[in-house]
Amino acid sequence: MKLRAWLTLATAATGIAVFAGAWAGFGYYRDFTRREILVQSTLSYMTAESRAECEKNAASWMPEPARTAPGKDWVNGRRPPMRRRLFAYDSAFVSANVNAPEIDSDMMKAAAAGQIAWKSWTGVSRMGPPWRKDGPGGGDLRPDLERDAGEPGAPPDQPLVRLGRILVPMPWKTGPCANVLVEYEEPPESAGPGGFTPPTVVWIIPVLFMIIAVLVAAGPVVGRIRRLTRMVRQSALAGYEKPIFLKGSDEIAELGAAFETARTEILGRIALQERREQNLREFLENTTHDISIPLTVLQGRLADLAGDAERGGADPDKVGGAISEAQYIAALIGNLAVASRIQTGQPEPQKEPVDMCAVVQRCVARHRPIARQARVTLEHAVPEHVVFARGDVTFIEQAVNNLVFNAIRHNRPGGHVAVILEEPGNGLPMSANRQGAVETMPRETPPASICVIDDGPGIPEEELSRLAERYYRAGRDRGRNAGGQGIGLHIASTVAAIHGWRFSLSKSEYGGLLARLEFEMDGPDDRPDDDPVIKRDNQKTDAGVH
Amino acid sequence: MSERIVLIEDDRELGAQIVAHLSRAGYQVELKTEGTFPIPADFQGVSLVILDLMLPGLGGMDILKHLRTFSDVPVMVLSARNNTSDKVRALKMGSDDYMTKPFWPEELVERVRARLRRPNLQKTGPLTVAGVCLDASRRTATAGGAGIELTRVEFDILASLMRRPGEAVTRQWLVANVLDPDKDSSERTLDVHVSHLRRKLGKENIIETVWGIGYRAGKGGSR
Repeated sequence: MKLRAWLTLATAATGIAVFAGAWAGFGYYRDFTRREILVQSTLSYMTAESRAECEKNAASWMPEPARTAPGKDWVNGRRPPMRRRLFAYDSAFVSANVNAPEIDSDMMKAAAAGQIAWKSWTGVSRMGPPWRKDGPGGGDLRPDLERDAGEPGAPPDQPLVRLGRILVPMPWKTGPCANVLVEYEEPPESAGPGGFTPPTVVWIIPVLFMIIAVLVAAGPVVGRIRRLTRMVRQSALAGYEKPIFLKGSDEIAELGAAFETARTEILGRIALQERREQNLREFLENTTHDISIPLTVLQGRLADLAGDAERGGADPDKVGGAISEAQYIAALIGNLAVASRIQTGQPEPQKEPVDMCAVVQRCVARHRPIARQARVTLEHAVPEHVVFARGDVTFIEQAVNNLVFNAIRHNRPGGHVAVILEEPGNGLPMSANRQGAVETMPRETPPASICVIDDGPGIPEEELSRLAERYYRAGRDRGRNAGGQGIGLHIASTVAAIHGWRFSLSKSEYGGLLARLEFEMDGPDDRPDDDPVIKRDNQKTDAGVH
Repeated sequence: MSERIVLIEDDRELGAQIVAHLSRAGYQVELKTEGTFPIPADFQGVSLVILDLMLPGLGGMDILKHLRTFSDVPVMVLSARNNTSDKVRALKMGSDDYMTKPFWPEELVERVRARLRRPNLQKTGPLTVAGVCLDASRRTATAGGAGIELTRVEFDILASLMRRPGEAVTRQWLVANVLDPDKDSSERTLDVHVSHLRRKLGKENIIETVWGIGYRAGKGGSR
């Protein structure tokens, strides 16, 4: 709920509650005052003039002392006088007058104890003729003792009045007039405090005034809060670089200062985190760089050893094993660097034209030595003319490298791996079984694709869908040599997703795995600097057959 | 005379190893272990420059930049940093290829060979692979010097393969581009045509079946 609406509701609720309390207090005070006046005036009336008459005509004594003069009613303008009449009772609270009402036992007990007993209620006038809305009715003010509240014959439109009785013990305490009961009635127009709902105008105007006053007072406060909110949002959108400052010395300015402190703290933590990530990236880059050179030397030595092995100078199996391990480390280094870039998003993936034929040729050339060692035939086919895609060449090449390496590693001696770059319309190898394929970023039409097919032992159907998960290794009970590091296919899948391409894994028609990377062809445009990132080996210029 | 290659690589052991492997492959290699300002005299008659990026003295990118002011010699960049921006920058500054460490010597030799390979000038004239010669304009074929009779489809299959000797061509492409779409054009039909073709070539059979792909004229580089 908005602050203004909340303040309006709170003010209305508080105003109504305060007014109701004041109204009730005022009613209590008026009742108390009225009782005091009635008691004192009755004592004075009895002592000064009416005791003798009361004792003399006890059976018929039922006077109506003079009423108070009409006064001003603070709500309705004119307040009609209050009516009263007296009844005499002896010390045993028995009246000689048959018209005298019976006294409640509670009142009798209080009077016996020397206290003023009283009670009041709302009902139809006992003194009739009925009150009228504009004042006490007519000129005939004689009491109509035949009618009582709830009497069946009472006119239905007779207004309700406030009725009350006060039992006043007389100082003489004996005789038929030892106690006097004052019975009084108030006109309905003045029946406000003390039981009746106050007229609407009495409470709604002050409450409305209060609400308006609160809203006027809250305006600048709400404005400042809104300004502070805008500042905090703008600062957050600007990466917390924009300071938060609100003039003034009130609580909202203090809140602004607290936000500024939090902003500075967040900025500091972000900077610290970025420094840590930068350090980590640099460490990884430097480590990758430092390992790459000796690893290249090691691979050269292993190649020499392989040559010796062919001439019988070394154990071919041991050399083959060492070559396999070296290739594993090389693949791991490449994947670590790419995984770090994917994880941190830095540096951002580039969108440059990439010669996909060259990518396939490089990946195949890179894995030919390891394929030979594994006694796996590695073949490839690319269209005669260049096929371009737009993306990050390092990402794409690592993804294809992983697919090729995966196909060689999970093959068997005498097995085959084929890497095919196909354009749309030239017949993709669709005969492969597509059941159980894992796909990322599905598209309606696959424009071009790189397929890596092998005839290795393959992957069980139930594991196909999980192969591209990070760190998932097919066959958990197998060692590193069987399952690899578990990020190769995940990186291929992620690279496809980053480029908006489709990556799928399925069972190949030869029993092994078919990995397919589908991409949109997008060549360099007319921009002078928009050259393909890597030129294809022995690139041909004339578009002949295939 | 063997082709000259200039290798600029600061790691002496790696440099010596690359020199040894390229020399065994028949190239004449000159090793430089420091980045120095390139002068035209040093690159006269050079067929290829293999350039490391991180060098003491003048950096690889600077050498490339200055080299391109006076020479169009092919440059293959070598780097231990597998960094896309480096690759893009090197390419835009005029490099022809990029190779990241670690690599196998065989891979380097293959890439160098591919880079230095002469353009195939046979496309406009007769195509020749081993003992098979094909004249596309006259639509005649000879195997071991003797003329052979080929059908239209057989001739086109052989021509498609011989235009790219040593490179695999997919069955799907051959079916889509060579077979007659009005007749039975399935991979099985293609295999039958190739079988007939092989029989007609006899001892001069140059058609290899490439696993998972299709066919190839001549030997591939995978063995």
